[in-house]
Amino acid sequence: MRPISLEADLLLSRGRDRPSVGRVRLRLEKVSGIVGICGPSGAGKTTLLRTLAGLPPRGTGVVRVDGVPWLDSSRGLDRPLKERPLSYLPQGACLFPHMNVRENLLFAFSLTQTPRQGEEPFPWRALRGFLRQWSGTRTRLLPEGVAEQVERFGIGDLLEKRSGELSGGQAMKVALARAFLKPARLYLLDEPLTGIDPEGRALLTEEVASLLERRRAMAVWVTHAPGELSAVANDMVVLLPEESSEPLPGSGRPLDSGERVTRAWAEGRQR
Amino acid sequence: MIHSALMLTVALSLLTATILALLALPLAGWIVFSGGRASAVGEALLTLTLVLPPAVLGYLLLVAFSPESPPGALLARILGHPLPFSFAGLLLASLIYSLPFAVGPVAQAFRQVPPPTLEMARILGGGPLTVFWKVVVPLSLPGIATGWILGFAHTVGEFGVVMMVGGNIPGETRTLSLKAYDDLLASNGRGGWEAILPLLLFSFGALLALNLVRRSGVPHAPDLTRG
Repeated sequence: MRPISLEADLLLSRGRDRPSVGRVRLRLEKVSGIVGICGPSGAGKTTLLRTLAGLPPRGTGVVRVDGVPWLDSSRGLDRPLKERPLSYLPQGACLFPHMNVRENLLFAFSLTQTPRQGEEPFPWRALRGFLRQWSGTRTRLLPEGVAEQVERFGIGDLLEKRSGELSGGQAMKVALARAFLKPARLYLLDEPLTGIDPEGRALLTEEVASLLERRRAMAVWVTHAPGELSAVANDMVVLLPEESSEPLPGSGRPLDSGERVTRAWAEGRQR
Repeated sequence: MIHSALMLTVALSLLTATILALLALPLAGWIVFSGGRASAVGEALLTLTLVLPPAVLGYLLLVAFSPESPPGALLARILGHPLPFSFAGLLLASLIYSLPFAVGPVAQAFRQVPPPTLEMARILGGGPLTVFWKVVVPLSLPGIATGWILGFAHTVGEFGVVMMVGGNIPGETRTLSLKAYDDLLASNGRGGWEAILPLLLFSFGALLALNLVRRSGVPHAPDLTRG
């Protein structure tokens, strides 16, 4: 079994004219599973996820996944999104507003399929899809990969709804299913349980954990409530804002002995 | 004669609006998403015809289209006849004159696509073209419709440019607004209604269509009343 490793030594930035969040160092190696990230608001949890994904505002430092450098500022290396095998669930789900749930999933699925050799060139494929959609002859059957996620996240009865008609929790489930349509080594999940009822939370966490195990992938999971991850996450990273002089942990609940606080620092402002 | 002026105006405006709506997609995409300094210059050039007096623009186009100028000579050779005082010349002039009206709303709509939505499409594996066609364009349909309507309405109402470039030849380049002017002069201020009425109708129809687009309930429809 090939373990997955994530190494990061980052100076996070919140963009020009805004104070830096501070320095974060992570070194994780595991077969699969969830790494929880918690900490008070403003500690830079979302910024850390975005930096790992290579989204702006760009931090500086080093990110290595499976030993492959994704970011190495000292060498001027910043791997484009396309070459980073990752998927990202942002805060607020971010479904495509002009598509219903089915179309959201099918669109995400189509992006994971590489066009086969000898397939029609772009304009004809697009035109045919367009005609099929308008004439209503497209098949109701979902591709296997999509059907599997629909089943897993229990969103079968939402397929024809638009994102505006979904509750926060429903939108989140759809967004989770969409994020997991993409095969990746690293899944970056920003508070994926927002809006989901307490019973659903445990179930969903289990599903994500088992999915990660099957794919031998790692999820970096930002949460406000570390307790909800205690059953599945064997690593918990506590981010503290740089002004804070108190060391770990300090996020509401003492960590169980079964949980291991991974080395994480939020060091003083680097000048 | 009214029919030929009416048909001419409708044909010219439909062609202009449709060609411009197609041109507006790549142009607005370049202005909004390239982020380069060249696109700022491009946008300024596009908007130039908004502030130039139409008669001045018409004069400049007439000079540029003349068979004595290199571009005019080239176009005359391709078409087989000189560009000024022909329908083709009128169409080309209208395209240039109405360009900012067609591109502006499209660019505005592109700018209103939320950046996280674009980011999401890229993370899921979409290349620039896929993101443009599957996310940006569908979310901008009201803006694209607005651009078409404004391009149409603006071409219907143009006067200075068609006067200069078209030369007001009945049945060939005399549009409704030119006919209204001629009729008014000829009848000593009492006539001209047969040209004025359709112009009024077109203008009202365009405004009505704009409002319908705004109220269509399309997600993220731009508010047209706020430019």
